[in-house]
Amino acid sequence: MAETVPSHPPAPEEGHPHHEEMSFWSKYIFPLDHKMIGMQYLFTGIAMAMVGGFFAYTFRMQLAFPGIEVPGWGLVSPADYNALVTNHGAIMIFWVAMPVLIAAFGNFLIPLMIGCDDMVFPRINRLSYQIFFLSVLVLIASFLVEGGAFGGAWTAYPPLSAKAEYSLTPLGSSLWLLAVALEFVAFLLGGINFITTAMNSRAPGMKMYDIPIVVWMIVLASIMFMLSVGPLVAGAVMLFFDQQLGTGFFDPARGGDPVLWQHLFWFFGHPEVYVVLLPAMGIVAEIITVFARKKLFAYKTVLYTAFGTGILSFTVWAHHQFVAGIDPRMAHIFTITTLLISVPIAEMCFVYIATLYGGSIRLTTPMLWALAFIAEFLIGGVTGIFLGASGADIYFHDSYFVLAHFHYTFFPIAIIGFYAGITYWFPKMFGRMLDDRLGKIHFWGTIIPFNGIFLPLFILGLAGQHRRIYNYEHFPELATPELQALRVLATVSLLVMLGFQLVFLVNFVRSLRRGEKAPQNPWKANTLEWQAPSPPPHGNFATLPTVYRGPYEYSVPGRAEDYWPQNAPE
Amino acid sequence: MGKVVALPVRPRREPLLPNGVLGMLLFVLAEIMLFAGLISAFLVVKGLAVEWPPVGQPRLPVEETAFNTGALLLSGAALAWAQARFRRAPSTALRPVLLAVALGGLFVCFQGVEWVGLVREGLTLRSSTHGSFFYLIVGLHALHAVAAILALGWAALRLAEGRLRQDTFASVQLFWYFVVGLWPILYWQVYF
Amino acid sequence: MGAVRRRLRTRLAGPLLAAAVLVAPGRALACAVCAAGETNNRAEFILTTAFMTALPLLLVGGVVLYLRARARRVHGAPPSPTSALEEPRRVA
Ligand code: HEM
Repeated sequence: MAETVPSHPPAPEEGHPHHEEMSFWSKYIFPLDHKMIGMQYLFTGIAMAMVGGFFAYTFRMQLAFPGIEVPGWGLVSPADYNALVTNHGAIMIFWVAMPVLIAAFGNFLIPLMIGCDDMVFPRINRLSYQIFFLSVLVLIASFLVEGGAFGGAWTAYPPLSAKAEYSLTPLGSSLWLLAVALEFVAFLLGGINFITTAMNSRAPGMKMYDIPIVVWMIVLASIMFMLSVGPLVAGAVMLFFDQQLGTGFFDPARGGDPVLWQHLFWFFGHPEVYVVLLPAMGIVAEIITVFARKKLFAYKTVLYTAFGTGILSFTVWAHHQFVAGIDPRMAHIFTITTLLISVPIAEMCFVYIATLYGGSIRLTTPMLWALAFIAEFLIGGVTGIFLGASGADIYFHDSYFVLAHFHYTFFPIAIIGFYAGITYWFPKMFGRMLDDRLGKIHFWGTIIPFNGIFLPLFILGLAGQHRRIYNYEHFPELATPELQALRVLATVSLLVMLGFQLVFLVNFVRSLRRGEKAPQNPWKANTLEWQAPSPPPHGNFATLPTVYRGPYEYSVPGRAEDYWPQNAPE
Repeated sequence: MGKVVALPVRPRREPLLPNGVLGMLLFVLAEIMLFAGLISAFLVVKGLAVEWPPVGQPRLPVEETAFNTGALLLSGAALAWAQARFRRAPSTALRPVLLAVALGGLFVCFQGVEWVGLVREGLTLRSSTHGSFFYLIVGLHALHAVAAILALGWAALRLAEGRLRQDTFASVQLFWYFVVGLWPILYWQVYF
Repeated sequence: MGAVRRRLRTRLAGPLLAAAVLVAPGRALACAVCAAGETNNRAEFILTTAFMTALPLLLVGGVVLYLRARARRVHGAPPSPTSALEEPRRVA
């Protein structure tokens, strides 16, 4: 244990080597520098997003054109289909949303934005990435073993997931579980680091209300993650024992209880959606204030709302079990809490809109993404109200309505939030500007097809189409040409959207090499990361900054400039 | 990021809790939730059973374990005593720390013996959910105890060399108190 | 008069709602999934649900209160993690 949490702050003499030129290995492969670790998370996350997107492409092709040879994959067998859906879901949430939004942005931004030179536990930080990388390898291994990859859905409900006779993946399911557990350990270590750093290493003068919203959000998300992950780790160990050691924790025939897993899973699973939501909300807050040139409408409200969300998020999880036979009285309570939690989120959206009101808005690429986040996320949030009502949910449960609902929340979070953040901080991360025209082409080429994918799925869901079905031709009432046309529309939109992602890749790679050199503060922003060179050197600031004011002092009357950096003495 | 700059001076901010202690505190919170999840799972499965312990399964050795619980609690007290001495003169804390390590070691060994007996009586990981939960929960606690003993031993070593810092010691202590404090709860829930 | 009655009504709304939830049937006869959940560990499920819901909030609350008390002790007056949520400086 002494290794997991080193019990002493790295005093300067045991800190990392600032003075020597570092070798390739210690700089890029085993770095201690928070920015480089952030990059590692970022690029791993992007690579995994491509994998998850490729899986989506494969099974969407199968749904639109059942039985075709999918280019790049081949014939999709039912077992393939299950494995693809399962791993698509797991990858997108655990290996894309988490590493990119929390680990990559958290690592890169927290020390820079609070004005210090590194995380308080750089070695734990490195260990966190290494464990994360190991989890990726284990996940990949699960595709290569006998029996193939796990196909019991990302929620891994037993008894299907608990017994090899049912899941037909004796090793794949255990490796999958192991990969998820390793990923949790990695984020637990990272989260402890974030929280401790934000508490103890802030620049002199930076009080609680001077911390940029995005840092607050990542820290709150880390706290929520830390408190919710334990029960699921307990459940994962139990499930692993059931799979490999022949225990019967979840086996009703032997005195176990399968519904128990659902509780353990969703106890984590629901806070988890807010764990990924809050950082995205934070990124959007930063971008909106900068490009509206206006003070964040209600800093404290956003903050307290986020606290409230954090508290409520621990009280809603059983709404995932409305049809699992929980006590209807419990369902009433969880209906109420679920409807309640939409209030703080709506409030945040209102605050952002109010921030826009009367601002001098600049529609740069990051701003477009941030606005799109609010618009698209609202659709996801509003459809969630339908599902939160336990009566209505009996009909909607496990249909494509649910699926479209949570993609309207997750896609804005994981993909739009990511693009917003990367287009905004790219100059700081890599010292070059992205091309704005290509950025806008990419934006419209992503947003329009995105709605083209998921709006039809709402309609399919209302028509009764169930999730996780390999081929709808076997269901006469779902195999009508009209419904099939909607499926084709969704798949074609997906192809268009995936095509437009190439624009982003081209833009990214080209700008890295030949982009215009970024000035120190291209957006004229207040927060501390923009007061460091682009890209910041090892150690971040030549002299560590002192903070004199809050992060959102834009367009202050009586000043010549419309921004006022946090560290400007006057 | 290639340029090498001089190490900036660390900001002067007196943290409320030293980094190591805060980090360990957060870790302990996550651990508490882990065990809370296990206990809840145990209660739910126990509630499902018609008879507990299930038919044909041995009863757990409540009395012997009460003795063992006492040993563990004493070791926690020894560590608290060590802290009191450490504050006055660090070198005098070595003996109570070693006492805490010894009592902790006694606890783990005693449990090992107990397990051998239980397995003989027919309580195994697979024999029933009773056995599964017993070995899972108590075993996980034992693993934590072993890790904490190792950490304490390491702290004792540094103490003997005169290199143990107060916040290092505090975070190791925190972990040990967690292990000690958790046990009575597990004992009460699982054994009775 | 109307104000008093209105106040009474808002006062009563919470307890009434809670009572309604509690006396509501534990099982809806027309519901296909309700009966499936008729097992003898319902009490435990509800109990542990309440426990697991409350625990994280208690833990965080406890730590925050502790840090606050500590801040009082260390710095004397209020400035502390949450009370450090004081007014930001107003710079002219
Ligand atoms: C790239 C665009 C995406 C498309 C076209 C897409 C499409 C789909 C479809 C059609 C399914 C359901 C398959 C079935 O039930 O048979 C699905 C499942 C799922 N997707 Fe996506 N998705 C996309 C992106 C994402 C993102 C960004 C996330 C989360 C961050 C995500 C998370 C999930 C999850 C959790 C499931 C449930 C898996 C399961 O049933 O076990 N997806 N996706």
